[in-house]
Amino acid sequence: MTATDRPSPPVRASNFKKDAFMARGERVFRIASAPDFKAIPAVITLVDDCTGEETTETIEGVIRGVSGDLPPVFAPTRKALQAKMLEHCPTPRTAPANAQDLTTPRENARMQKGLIERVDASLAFLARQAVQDGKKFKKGEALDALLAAETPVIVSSTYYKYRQRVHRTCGNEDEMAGEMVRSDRGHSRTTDPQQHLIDTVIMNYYARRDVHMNTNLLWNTMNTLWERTGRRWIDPRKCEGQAVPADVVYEFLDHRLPMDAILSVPSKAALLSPVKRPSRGWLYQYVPVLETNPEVGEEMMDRRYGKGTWDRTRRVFDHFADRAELPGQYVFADHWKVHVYIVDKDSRTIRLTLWLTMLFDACLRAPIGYSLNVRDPCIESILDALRSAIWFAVWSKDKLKALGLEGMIPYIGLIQQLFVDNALEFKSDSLAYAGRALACPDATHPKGRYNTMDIVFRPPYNGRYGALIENHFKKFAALCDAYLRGAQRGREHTTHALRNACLLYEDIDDFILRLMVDHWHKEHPALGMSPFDKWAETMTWVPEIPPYEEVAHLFWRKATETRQIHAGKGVMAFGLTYASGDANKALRLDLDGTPMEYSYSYEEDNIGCLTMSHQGITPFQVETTSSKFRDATGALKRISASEWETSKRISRERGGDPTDYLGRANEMNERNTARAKEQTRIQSARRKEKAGLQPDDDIEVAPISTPSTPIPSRTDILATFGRPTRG
Amino acid sequence: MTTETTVMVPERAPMVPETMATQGTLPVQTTLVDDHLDMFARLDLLQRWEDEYQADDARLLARVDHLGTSAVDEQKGRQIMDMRQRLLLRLVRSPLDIDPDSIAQIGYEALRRIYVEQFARMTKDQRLAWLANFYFVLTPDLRALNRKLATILQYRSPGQQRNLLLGGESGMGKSTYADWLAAVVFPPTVEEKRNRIPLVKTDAPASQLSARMLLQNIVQAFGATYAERDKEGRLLNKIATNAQKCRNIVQWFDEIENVRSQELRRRFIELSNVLRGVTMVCASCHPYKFIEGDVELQGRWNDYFELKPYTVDKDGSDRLAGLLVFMELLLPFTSDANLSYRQIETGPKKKDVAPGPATLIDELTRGNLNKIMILLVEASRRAIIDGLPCLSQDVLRATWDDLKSATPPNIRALLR
Repeated sequence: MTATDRPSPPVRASNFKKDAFMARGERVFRIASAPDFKAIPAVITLVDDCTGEETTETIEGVIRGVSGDLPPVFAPTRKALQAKMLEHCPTPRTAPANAQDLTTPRENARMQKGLIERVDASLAFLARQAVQDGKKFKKGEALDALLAAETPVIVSSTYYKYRQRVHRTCGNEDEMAGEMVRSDRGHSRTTDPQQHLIDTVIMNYYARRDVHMNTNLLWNTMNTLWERTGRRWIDPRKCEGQAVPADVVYEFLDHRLPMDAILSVPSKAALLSPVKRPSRGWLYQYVPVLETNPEVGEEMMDRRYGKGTWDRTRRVFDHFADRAELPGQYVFADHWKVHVYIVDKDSRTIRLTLWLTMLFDACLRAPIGYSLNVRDPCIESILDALRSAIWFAVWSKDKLKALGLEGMIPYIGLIQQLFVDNALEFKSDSLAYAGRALACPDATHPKGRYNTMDIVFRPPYNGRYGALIENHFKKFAALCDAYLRGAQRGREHTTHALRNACLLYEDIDDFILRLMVDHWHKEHPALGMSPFDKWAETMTWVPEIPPYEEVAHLFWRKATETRQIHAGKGVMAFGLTYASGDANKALRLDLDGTPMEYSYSYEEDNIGCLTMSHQGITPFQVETTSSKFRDATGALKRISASEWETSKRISRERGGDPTDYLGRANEMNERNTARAKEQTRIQSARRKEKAGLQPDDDIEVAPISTPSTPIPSRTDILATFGRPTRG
Repeated sequence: MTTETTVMVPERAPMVPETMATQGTLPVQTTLVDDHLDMFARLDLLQRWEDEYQADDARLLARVDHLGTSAVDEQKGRQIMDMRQRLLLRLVRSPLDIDPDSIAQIGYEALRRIYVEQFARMTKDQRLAWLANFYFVLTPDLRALNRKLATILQYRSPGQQRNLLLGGESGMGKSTYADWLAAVVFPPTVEEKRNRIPLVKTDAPASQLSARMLLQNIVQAFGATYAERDKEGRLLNKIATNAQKCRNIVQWFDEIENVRSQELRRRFIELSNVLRGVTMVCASCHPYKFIEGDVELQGRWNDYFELKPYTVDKDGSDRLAGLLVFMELLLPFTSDANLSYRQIETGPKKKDVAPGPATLIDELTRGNLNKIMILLVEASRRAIIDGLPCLSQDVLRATWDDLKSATPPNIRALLR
């Protein structure tokens, strides 16, 4: 804000005291006599402090001042007036931490103009003062002193440069800003012909399906082309608003066509402009940008060279999956509804379908992890699958051992890029946070000890981006149809499938695991070998992965709300109290005394334990202090969030002890089990009765006296069945 | 390079007309497609023919402007109209022709490279002008027809009248071939005492009431006039006289399917008797209907030739592929479009294939030569204007969609 922009200080009657000083514009006055405010008009006698000239003015004229002048400033003494003037003309703001804020041209122009006005006014004032005191005014010294007081300090040459600019533009800030902007502002570092040359080479040679060209070779190709065309290339600006003629481009690329033949056509030669060879480093940075984000590449090419350019040439980066060189480099995640009806383990009457969330490696062409759930795809599904992929050998060790498949599926280490679709469950903080935090940053390794995982979202309505995994699901579907009873082979067969359903969750889980193992050890046509052999060929080192215990909390659901740590109590969540030794040591108050807000993560299936975290503080765990969550030995019992919420609701409805949620939940779970068994037995008995056989004698049907409410089963499947997930 | 092809015919010809007697072949002038083909010289030639056509056409139009309203003037007006129509074929007086031996010796790829270098030197306008070559293409079928016609002409003798039935679906080039013969191979010439008209082309009248219109048309085709009061006998005499004066050797009747009544068909036998030594060619989509049920007609029109569609034959040979390879060799593009491919690979696996350009062209045109030529020429024009390196399936399909919504396609109108 400049001095002129600053609101003028209110003028009061007390300002007009005798022998007080007043500064107006560049002149300083001494008030010779106090005005008579009762007189109309009230007049005042002023003496010019520099020349001693005496003038009489009306009060109103003094207050209004001359148009364009600074508002009058009053002070009892000359020294106070000088100080007040400096205060009135503010010093520039301190340089912001972010240098970009200051480098905005318009802001810079305003700052320069303000500085010049301020310093010039001060110089004039000091000059007059020196004349009055009968001293010789040394402008250079005064200027240096004034500039030294500026923040940041500027030198006199800079002052003169600014002053020249202000005078040249008559103080017009827009013009000043315009002068400060580079002519190539907003432009790429490369020229248009350079850009077109690079794009042409990329689109025609890089990452084609039939060949595999690395960036180094790409640069060499571009270099050869550049030399062939006589260090010139097509300038899109010369195409008069039309698209760059593709026929000319192809002629340049055809090495068998002599250049003189092409350039004998004047219209083609006229398109060329001399270009500087693009730097190798720049190309190395540019290619991955397009590679990792195909949609951006398409948009960029179409914008630059006309709609359809991308489609006309090969869809280069659609095949980037073929370019995967290492396991874990590109991994695709997706969900698939297993079209097989299963039954619940207890009653064997409730029909369910499962959702399979799978991670598929592009290099190995094999699934590397999965998660099988009754619930619809949600954050936990993908986190479970991710956990399974990274620590598959650890996570599924017991299961593999039981099936005799130990060591059949290797682990590939951390994932570099995880490609997911645009489903809501993928756009979660938990997944993004897990991707970043898998690097395990600490004080000695601020960037992390391991690589981070990038989450790449597939563009909507572009099915081809997930072709690999979709194709795999199709294969799974065919095998399910072939092997599993209860498989739904089409809409018209739903009734048939429902009637045939008999398999349990475990059966499907084992089946999928076996399919995975089969896939790993069967020759893949695209690889020419089995994925396991490919893994053995590419993995010449042992991949490093963080210990699971250290990062286990990353795979928990991150709560949207935050919690504070209360002294002597701990953390409150889910209506429970959590505490631990770490919680006691953790900071509770911020530097300004406000309570610190901790974000927390929890396992959906076990809310007995939470992980608390705050920016810059190592995450720590807290456990619930509730005795209802502990068994007789003091160990934590696994109780899911939905179970806990349900038990609370039931307690409220039945009017029991509202705090004894767990007891009710346990009671109802027992009842559920008993009732399901009863149902099975009754159904069995009725079937036998119909068949003319003797029913079992030990059937006992206990009457239910309590009001019936929709009670969920205690099994994992039914516990998570109604959990809210994606919309 | 301009040469005269030699159509081999037996040398025993007792009564050959003057032209055939001196040369023993059909005087077909073609330009061989070989490694010596100078495209820029060819472009100059095309330009010269174009200029000559413009001058001739302007001259004929000037004559029309001076015609009055009398019956004779009206007949002359019609003659001029026919003449102008045939003049179009003189735009390509020497169509591009392939020498199989030469191709076998050089190889397609090498030949294509030679041509591509020349195409690269062409401007857009020159490439567009090059498309005029496809105004009339001497296909293998037409070459065979040339031979057949030459053979029939050589075998003429007293008592051995041989006439030809020419069949083929609409758009396979029957009428164009007849016009080309009349305008380029057997061009009418004006001499001091007479006009030479070796080939007379007449459209069979749709009316079945009388043979007068047919006879009047023939008289007109000789450049003569008739009076309305002239009866059929007199008209026949006029035809016989003019045929001899004009050294006529071929009478070409187009759209012969129009002749349905028995009475009119018998007139053709009468004509055949009058025009001794003149070969009569009757062309139509289904010309055998003309001789159906008449033993005498069947005896006179005892030669048959059919222009078949360019598609896959019953024996499995792909006729379309051959035509497309030929076209691609000569289309003024520097990149290959692989027009003759029925399938194109889309991936590394065997099953990764998609329909190729040949399949698309086959599907769109059903092997109709006129449609194929229109499609290729118009798509090429579009690709050249848009600066595309070669024809693509997208361009072909877009062109076809435009053509379908346009007026009925006609290669001549399109090229003009």
